[in-house]
Amino acid sequence: MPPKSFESRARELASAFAAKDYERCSHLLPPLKVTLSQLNILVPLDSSDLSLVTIARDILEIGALTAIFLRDDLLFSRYIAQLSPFYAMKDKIQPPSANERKLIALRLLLLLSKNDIAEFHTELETLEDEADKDIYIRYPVMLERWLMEGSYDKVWKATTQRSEVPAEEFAIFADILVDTIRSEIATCSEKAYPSLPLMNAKHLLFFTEDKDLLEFIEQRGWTVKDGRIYFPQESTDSLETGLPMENVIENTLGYARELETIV
Amino acid sequence: MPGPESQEPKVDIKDEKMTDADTAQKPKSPEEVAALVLNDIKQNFGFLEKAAVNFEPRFSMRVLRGLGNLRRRLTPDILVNTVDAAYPSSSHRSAALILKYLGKEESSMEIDESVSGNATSAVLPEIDVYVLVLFQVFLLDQGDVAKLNSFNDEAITILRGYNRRTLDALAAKMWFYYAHGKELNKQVVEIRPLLLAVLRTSTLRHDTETRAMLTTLLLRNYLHTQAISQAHQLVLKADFPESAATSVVARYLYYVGRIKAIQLDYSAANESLIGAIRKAPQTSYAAGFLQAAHKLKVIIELLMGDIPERSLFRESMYENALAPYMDLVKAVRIGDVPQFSDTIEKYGSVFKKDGTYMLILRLRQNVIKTGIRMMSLSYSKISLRDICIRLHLDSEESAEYIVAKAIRDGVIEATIDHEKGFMQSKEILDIYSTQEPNMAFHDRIKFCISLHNESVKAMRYPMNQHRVELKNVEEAREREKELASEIQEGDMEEDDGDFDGL
Repeated sequence: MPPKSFESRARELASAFAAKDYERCSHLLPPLKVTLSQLNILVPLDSSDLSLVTIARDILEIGALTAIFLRDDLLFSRYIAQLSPFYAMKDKIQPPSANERKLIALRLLLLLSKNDIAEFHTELETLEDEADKDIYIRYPVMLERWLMEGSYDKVWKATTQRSEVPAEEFAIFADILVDTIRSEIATCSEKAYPSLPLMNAKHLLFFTEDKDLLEFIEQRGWTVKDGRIYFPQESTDSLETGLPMENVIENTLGYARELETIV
Repeated sequence: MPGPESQEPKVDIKDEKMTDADTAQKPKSPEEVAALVLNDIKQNFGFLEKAAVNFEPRFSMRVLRGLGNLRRRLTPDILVNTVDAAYPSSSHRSAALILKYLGKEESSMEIDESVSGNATSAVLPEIDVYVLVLFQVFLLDQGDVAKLNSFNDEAITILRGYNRRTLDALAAKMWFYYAHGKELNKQVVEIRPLLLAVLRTSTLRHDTETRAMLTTLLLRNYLHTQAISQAHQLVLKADFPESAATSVVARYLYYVGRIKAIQLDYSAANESLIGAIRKAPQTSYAAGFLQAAHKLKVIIELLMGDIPERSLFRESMYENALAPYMDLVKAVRIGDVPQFSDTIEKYGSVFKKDGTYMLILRLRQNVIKTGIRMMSLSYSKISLRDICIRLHLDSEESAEYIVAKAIRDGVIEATIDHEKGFMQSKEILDIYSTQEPNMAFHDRIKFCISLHNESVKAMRYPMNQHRVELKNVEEAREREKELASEIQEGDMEEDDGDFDGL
């Protein structure tokens, strides 16, 4: 197709996105991507035309943001993967993308919500030093830190209060994160408290409605008695009384074998 | 073999005899020094020949070990003499190359036509590559990066023309200086395809030294540009030959340790680093490597929750380099969060240069955990408010959550009483009644056994020595037999004699 109508379609996409018509965006995107690959610009090389590269990058960014709003994780990950060669050549593309930081931060947040901490840190290493300075990237980094420490109240405040969240896209992850925190707190509470009054449990788990709390308790399998929650106690001491025969025998046989082998 | 050097001036010997006491201080004249160096180089040529003829890699290793000593004494004149000694004519490819870079172009030669079979076959390839490596080292020490890189490109072309197993160790060295030159010139990413291609070739040819060296160089390359996932893939897919030279294995283990540390696999990273430190030479020549390895090891130990021993920081080799890390360990040990943040700020630039900054940031939660553990061990019962104050946490709520998480992670054994707002520690279990000592012993026994096996495997017996011994044994046995038969005959004769005598 002649590039002229391609550019007009790209503008159409941008206007649809600005108007928050995400359904329409998702319709417009696939044919645009086909055109991009026909123009050989889907994967940018050093030899590609720079103006086309800029347009391609903008299109892909809109695609990624649309995927977030439509809550499609896989699609978002795919767009980010396609964007990475563009960001690798960012020195050559003018103007630098305003959305780059936001998208990287969103990717980090996605990894965090899936609890993929190893991948999270790997990506973080490639960013080097910008974590503290950039408001977008700081958000998932601080969240991860608080989650690891265990200060769940800070995480709660950061995800639910609108003032803390840097952009609306981040708020979409809020639900997943809240679920994560709740299950974490629940697991900690099982080990830490012998028993807990209902009122405090509601407060600790950040529930507003009693019935939500009761549903949650059902789900976790705790017992309620006299307005207190009792956690199932694990029977710890009975298991370890005998000698772990198998292990010891296995080890000793191993030693005997090794000593006698002729190397 | 090049003819014996006949320039040794007689004065040298007399001087040495006269001034035995201060031979070291007496300045030798440049010619004498040059002659000595040239002699060393020619001796190395001899070793290389032996290596090529007998297929014994030990001689090449010996030559390479002397490289460090030689490189301090090289001058352009010595190199010209070396070229003269090594190559039959200065129209040989490598000779011309070196002379060109020395700026001593003989005459308007055509380098193309000298690529004839005659010139190449007269010189032993090992000697050729060795001289090229010497020149690489010389250029590197001169600090002329651009020259080094263009020389390297041409030298590599010459190297790839050869395919001999006896060249392995030398080829590995040449690749090392090639990659190093490119790194200094910031051309890191471009050489990746080339390194990968050569890695494939060397794997096909079962060229262990080059393979090991190239894998290590590629890992360094990826880590340089923070391409951690690619480095990880390389580690998974490419088998590393464990039988390569220990210095290369040590480097490889160090890089693997770094990758694993970033991916949060701390125990595996620790094992790799311990291996790297053990395999590295323990002399002061390897000081840089040992310092870097120890820095990383300290951080990983902290991340695992152990405190590194203080004696490490007092050794002279490590005292200066590891000083910032010692402050860090102090802060973590006490569990004091503000002190930790101060230390990071103070030494931030040092940590960033060492590439450990991101790992250190992860230590924050360790500081808090250590602080909580101290509390739990020292107090049987402590209010949450006190915990909050002592650890400089932001609020009581945070304190409660943090303690709950610590209990779940198994850092402390305690329970929380929410209404009354305190934490109560449980009784401490007697560790000898659990399996812990058994497992610790098992690890150590395993290690000792593997060490024993490796030592036995590494013992060397010169190839035909045992046949010589056998021959000796056989001769000895024959002699014994003769002796025995003589004695017998002698006995019989004597008996007859006695009879006669009677």
